[in-house]
Amino acid sequence: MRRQQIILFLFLLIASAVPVFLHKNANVVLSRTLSSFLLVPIKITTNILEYLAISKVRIEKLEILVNQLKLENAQLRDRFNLDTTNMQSQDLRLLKASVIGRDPLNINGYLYIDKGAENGVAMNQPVIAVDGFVGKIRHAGPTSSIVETIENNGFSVSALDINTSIHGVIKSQKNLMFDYIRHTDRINVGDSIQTSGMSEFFPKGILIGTVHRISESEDLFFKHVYVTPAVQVNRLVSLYLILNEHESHTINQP
Amino acid sequence: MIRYLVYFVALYVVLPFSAFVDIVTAIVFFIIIHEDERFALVFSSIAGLLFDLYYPIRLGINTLIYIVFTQSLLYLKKYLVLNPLTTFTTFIVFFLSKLAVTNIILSSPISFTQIGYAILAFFPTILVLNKINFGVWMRS
Repeated sequence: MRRQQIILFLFLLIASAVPVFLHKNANVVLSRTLSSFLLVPIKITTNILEYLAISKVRIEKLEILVNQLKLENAQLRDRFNLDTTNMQSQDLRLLKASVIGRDPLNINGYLYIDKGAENGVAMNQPVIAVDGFVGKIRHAGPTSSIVETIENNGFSVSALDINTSIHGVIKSQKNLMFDYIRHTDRINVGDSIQTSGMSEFFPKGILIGTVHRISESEDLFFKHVYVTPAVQVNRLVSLYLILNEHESHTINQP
Repeated sequence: MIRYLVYFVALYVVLPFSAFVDIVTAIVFFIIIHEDERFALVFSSIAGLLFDLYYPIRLGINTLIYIVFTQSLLYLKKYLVLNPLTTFTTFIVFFLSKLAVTNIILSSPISFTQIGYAILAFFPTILVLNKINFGVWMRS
């Protein structure tokens, strides 16, 4: 054993033995002092790891939030797809129009749109949306028009139940009714009602709504069939005008 | 110099896990076997000191034990023939003796799991340190 090594060993031995025999408080103080600079790399690493762990948790929470927002966004987009979708039809010439106003006395009864006679709009032209039937042109100005919707009291259109092929007339009174359905007619809740095409203005095959309630009435011949409209008029931001129609009347939605 | 830096970096890296797997002892053992004797003494005292600071029971206990055992092994080193079997056996004896003394002094319970993990981690530690510092997996 070399002399230097012996001296070093003895020095280190004494240096390490001293704290062992120190008073407990002095030992703790010395530990804290030495830790404050000797353990700095470990503390930094630990802090970084803790930060990463916290960040990971935050990222996971944010991912959940992003997914929720994506879902919500998709639902909202779906609601407003009227605005983002360009509906096309092989059989009908459609003109897209935006809702620019509503009748303050009858908010869902009349809509003001940004297309008028200059765009080819004329009285009684059918108006539809992506979801289905909306109404017809009540007045066509040069650059804007008024649409009478299916929710306006007194509005009527000939229709048929596509499941049973029973014909009737959709009438808007307090509720949307599928009128002239006899007590003996077998019509069911959930049946889809479309335009029948037996009309001067409205082509066949436009979805009007679904049957949601059937009740017997005091009327001698007919029962009450309540229909939920396919289109929610109070949510409409854009719609389509059917400028003319060709041979076939079926609408192909995108 | 780079080698010494590697030892200190390795010491800081494994220190937080040393309560579960005692790799510090394996590193100290490696340095005793392969490095300069004075550096081995200094390193073992620093390793003991860091151990005392990171797992505080009483400052100086582990430092003292590491220094004494390092010096003992340095004394015995010249009688050893370096091959994997003797290296491993020497490590086992070194580690268990150190552990026994530490447990007797600190009156702490013996964890057989920790002993098993330390023995299992010995060869990988030796191989990695050999590869990093000397470019070979095992020196004989």
